[in-house]
Amino acid sequence: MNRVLADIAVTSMLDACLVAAQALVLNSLGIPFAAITAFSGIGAYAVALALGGSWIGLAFAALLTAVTLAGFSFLAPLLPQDRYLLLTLAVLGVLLATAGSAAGLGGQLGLKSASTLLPPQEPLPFAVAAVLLFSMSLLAHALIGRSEFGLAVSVARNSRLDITAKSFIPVKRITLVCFVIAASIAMLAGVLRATYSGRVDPNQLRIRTAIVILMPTLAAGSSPLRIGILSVVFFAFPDCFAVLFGYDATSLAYIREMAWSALIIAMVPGNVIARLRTRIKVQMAAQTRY
Amino acid sequence: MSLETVAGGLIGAAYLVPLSIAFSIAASHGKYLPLWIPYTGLLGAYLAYAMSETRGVPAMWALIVAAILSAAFAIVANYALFRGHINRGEPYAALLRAVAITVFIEAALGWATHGYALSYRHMKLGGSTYIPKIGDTLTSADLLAILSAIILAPALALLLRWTWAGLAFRSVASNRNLAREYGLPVLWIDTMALAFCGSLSAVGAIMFGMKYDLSPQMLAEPTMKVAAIVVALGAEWPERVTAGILMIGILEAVTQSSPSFAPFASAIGYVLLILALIMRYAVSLRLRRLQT
Repeated sequence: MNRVLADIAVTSMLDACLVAAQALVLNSLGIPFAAITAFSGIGAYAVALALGGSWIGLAFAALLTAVTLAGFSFLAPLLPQDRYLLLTLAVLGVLLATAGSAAGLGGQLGLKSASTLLPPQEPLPFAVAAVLLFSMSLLAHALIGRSEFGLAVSVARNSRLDITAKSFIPVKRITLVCFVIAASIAMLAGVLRATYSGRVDPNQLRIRTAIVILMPTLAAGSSPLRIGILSVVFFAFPDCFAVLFGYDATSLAYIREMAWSALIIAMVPGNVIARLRTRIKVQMAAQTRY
Repeated sequence: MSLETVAGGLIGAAYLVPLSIAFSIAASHGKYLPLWIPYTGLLGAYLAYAMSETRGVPAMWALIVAAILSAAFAIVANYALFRGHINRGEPYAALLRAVAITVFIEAALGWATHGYALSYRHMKLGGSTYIPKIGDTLTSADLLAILSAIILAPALALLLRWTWAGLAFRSVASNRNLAREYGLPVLWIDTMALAFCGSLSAVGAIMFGMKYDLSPQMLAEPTMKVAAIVVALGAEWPERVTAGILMIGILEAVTQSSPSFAPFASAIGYVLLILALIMRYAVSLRLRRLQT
């Protein structure tokens, strides 16, 4: 039982790291980015290639990461938001097809990524590593929220609407830095996941997976506490509920996706929660005035 | 590149023509990417399955009821969820909602069917013909898909370019406020356009289900492919979108015929999308430079 719960903790925490990394770009920087799994996939394949002794593959993964990062951060201010979101998903589709067709990456079967240093399916060391990585990603959010860089990030977020923001801060450089931080977290999560499962396959680059990760990212906002709680609950709920109460985990995952997508449908029009909060503040101000 | 490969690609792509026309009409009307429109058809396809396979309703009635209910769903969803975004010109917010709707419908159908694929038995059209020249057997559904590809796009192009209804639709799609000021019945045109898109999606999804069986995720990849072509060729030209879908179908079939590149076939649409976006950006940048 404890082993199963530890396994759930590791996988949910690693998925939650992806949410935290994506929230850095999507919510803090305001760039409609939905392909964080591209970086975790690259990280996973890179570690599998490194464990297999293919250093050329590792260098190619580093080059691919650099090109993808540069492309995403360069195109972010230039394309309309909806087109950019579609572009990120399209890049994911191309990576999926490449991973599935390249013989050097094992095709549809993938590659073995078991390490002798950290044996796969041993939850304890991976749980510690996952907790550390997740804490680091939340710490990054907290630091960005409280630092001068965070102020620059919020100005960069507004630069799409207010062009004068560009004369105060280096928007392109800030965008690139945020992308690098997010990609590093995602790649580390990918490395841990690959070594934990002992195998890497193209399925983690599926667009469907990216869209499932997009749901909690949109709902989580940029507060570290909210990201921490919501993302872990999102990923741990079906398996935990299934283990504790014996309900089918797949059905619970469907119910979870229905509930969260309904939440997103309700929240999109102008952020219902923010609107409610403003209304409450206005009412409280009116009451104190009288 | 053999005739068999081209014919196979064309037949496979012909099944996507109704969905792509519905998508391009909705995209042109709302000025956003309506990823949810094919999913109204998916709902219709499951509804038709429930009626014909479990309740014994005749296939034609099941098809008609599914088309009507999909149209109703499209109208209600557009009115309740997307009208505000369309009026305010918010394509990103509309896209996010569209993505959430697709996730919701996929999850709901997956939950209802435990994620298993379903196969039409009563609704499947009987009859097939072997065509020696292409080395393939054409089923009645294949012929229907080919006929729809031949008829639908030109008919729609004529309707949009040469009739009053087409002119009214284009006016509303171009500038809603101005169209309203000129006395065009905007709400009525919205309703008609969405009803058309919803029912056409249902027919398209049912045809697609006849060929590849029903599953909750069956329209995920085709929807992205259609979105890619709409972005690349422009939603205002359904006939171009249809031609693009057929061309991509041929390209995919050719890629699939080579064993080492077969899995890369699914990426052709995405590569096209990336190239189209970058080219559009380059063109707009050049225009801006010329202006300055």
